[in-house]
Amino acid sequence: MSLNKDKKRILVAMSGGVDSSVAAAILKTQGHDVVGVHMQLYDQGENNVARLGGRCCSLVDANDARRVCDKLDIPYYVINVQDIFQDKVVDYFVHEYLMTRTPNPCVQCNSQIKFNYLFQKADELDCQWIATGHYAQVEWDEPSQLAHLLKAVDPQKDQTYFLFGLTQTALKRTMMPLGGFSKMMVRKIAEDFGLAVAQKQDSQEICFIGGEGYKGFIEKRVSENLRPGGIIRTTDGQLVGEHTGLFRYTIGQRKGLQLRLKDADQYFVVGYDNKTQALIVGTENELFQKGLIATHVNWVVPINRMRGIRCHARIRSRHEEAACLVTCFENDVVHVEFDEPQRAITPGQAVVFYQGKETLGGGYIERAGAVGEKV
Amino acid sequence: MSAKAGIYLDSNAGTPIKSAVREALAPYLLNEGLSQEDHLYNPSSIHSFGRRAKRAVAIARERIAQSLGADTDSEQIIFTSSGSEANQLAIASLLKPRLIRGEKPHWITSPVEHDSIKQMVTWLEKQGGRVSFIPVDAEGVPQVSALESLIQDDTALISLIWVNNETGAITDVSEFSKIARRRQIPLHIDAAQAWGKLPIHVNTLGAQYVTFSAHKIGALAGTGFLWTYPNTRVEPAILGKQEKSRRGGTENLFGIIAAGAAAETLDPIAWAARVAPLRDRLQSVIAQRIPGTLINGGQAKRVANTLNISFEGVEGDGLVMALDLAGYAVSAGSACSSGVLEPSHVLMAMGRTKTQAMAAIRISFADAVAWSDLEGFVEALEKTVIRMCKARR
Repeated sequence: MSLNKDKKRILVAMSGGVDSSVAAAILKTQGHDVVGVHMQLYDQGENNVARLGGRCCSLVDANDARRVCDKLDIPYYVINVQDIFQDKVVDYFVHEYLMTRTPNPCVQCNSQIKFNYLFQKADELDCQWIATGHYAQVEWDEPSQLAHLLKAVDPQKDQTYFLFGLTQTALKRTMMPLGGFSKMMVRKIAEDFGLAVAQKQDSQEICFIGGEGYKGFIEKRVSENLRPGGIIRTTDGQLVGEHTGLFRYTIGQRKGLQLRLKDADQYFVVGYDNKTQALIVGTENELFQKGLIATHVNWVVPINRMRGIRCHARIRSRHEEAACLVTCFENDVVHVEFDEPQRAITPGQAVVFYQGKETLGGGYIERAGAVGEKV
Repeated sequence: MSAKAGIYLDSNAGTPIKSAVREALAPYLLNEGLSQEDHLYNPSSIHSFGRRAKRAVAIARERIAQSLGADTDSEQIIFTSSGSEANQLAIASLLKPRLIRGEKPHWITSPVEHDSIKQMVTWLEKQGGRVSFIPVDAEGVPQVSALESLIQDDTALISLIWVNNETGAITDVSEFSKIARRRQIPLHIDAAQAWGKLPIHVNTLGAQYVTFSAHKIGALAGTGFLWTYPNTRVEPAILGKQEKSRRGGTENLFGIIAAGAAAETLDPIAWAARVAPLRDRLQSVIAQRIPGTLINGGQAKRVANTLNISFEGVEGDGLVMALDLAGYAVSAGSACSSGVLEPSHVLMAMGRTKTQAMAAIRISFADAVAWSDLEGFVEALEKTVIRMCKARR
């Protein structure tokens, strides 16, 4: 990010983890006026005082963030975002599973909270910028007056997949100082700054899900009649087993299926029949599809919707991007045609479009297939 | 801190150390050449060094007693770590023995108490006890007319805050004590915010337990005390010989000395005369310049230094933070353990909406402040409120 901007105030979203801590440290060293804000997103309940390896938002995390701010000599505040988080992220998460989609809560959190609601806080606190510890790069192009979202240099840590929902309005005011560093380098910087969180374990799992896992989480919150069991059948209608809730399975899954089939281990979840609550299994080649429909598409940079867009798409965060052609329809709907069939296209997951380093945008997978095709 | 330190307007939370306190403690802290016999040691030791420390405590105790009325017996004072501890010592003294006996005692308090009492409500209910709340009016003042009807056969205690820490509203405790005495129910008064702000004659309050806090009057935090009427039951929470076996643990020697020194400087009437005009002026200037202000507790009798205001159009917890960044320290509601701001239960009890409660700040002076400082504050406040209204999406 161009640092020729006159000194303005930056709100750094601090989780208490090493990434956001280093982001704050870097910005402070560069001479900016930095304010650390910890968002209390989720009440971890009785786990609040524990060090929750892999999860966020316990008191320990709030304290870790505070200690880092003390060390850096910057103001530190905690804001309560629990209600919005519950509504936009947690409820969304549960609801998606009940609709037989596989949700991506981190995308929602970024789009709705970190790069939306947080800007309201930034305005209240007279902060012109927001900064996060995301591994991504934001580049400002003066002539076109456009902000570009680029991949991080560390491909293992690149988080642009989760940031496709960012708008120009948000990006124009966003700094992501870590995009040019590897994770190893970031930890080293944390050590150099003497930050206690330098070796803190990363938050790997979904931040609000505990030891009970997502299945236990949903079981606790949704009564059984809303997540009924049903039969398992093959694509040609053969009855091969029973399940205790469609939410327990995701497209491409094989583990946990008890199938009454010869070569049962050759079968994977390929779909759901929402009308009958049946789980549909098929062979590996039935998992491969050439196209998908995505909705609620956000374009980070303006594109010409009248023409097809040749680009690469990722359909999972850990997916190697694949060459494709994107065709735009009305209402932020797109059709994506891959050059090669892709495995396990999963409704609810994000599909994110790239051209080289640049993140063009993305949307939510509605279903595999083509426009107008009978589902 | 890299941000400019700014102006402190949050005295109800804590006060700067008074010069009398500094003078009283300086020899022990600063004088490197202080002789062994001039140092102070453990007041419970039998030797002469201990006795000297004990005397220092006794002197402080006497000074504090004097500040509560010339006829106050200093032996009625039990030193604790805080007003919170003193509050809970009083409450537990009456309720715990009943619970242990298998009873489900009844306790009357109000919905506008300090958190240390609010915590005990949750505690008692968990133990199977019952709590009734004296209704408050729109200014947050408990209504004495409602007390009689709340009293039950097994009401064990009435606890009441005298001066509300959030709004400064004053409860007429003497009216409550009349009823309590007639019905023979012990009365517990939380005077943490009253000491130094109101003239106190503790013997005539008609209460069995009265709690105090030292860091509200310019002494050190970590010191509080419970005054009890003679022969009032106290069940120690910390067992030990100290404080006549009512509160164990080595005495907080320098905290107590500090409290004694600060107690001697108290002159609530002169203080109120200095401070009230400033607060009143500030209140009217703010109300004039910023539309949509709501003074919380403004119609009640208030102590001289407290001003609690809600701002229309402001949402959420950003106001205190924004003012902090602008260099002004005020407070709002209460912070929970993670630091997240919760809406004030006091304001909610007064009938404010959650939004109004979250959009409130409390301004409180320790003593007279220069008007020019307050003018700067009003300007910053105005700018901040405007910005916060605009920031809403």
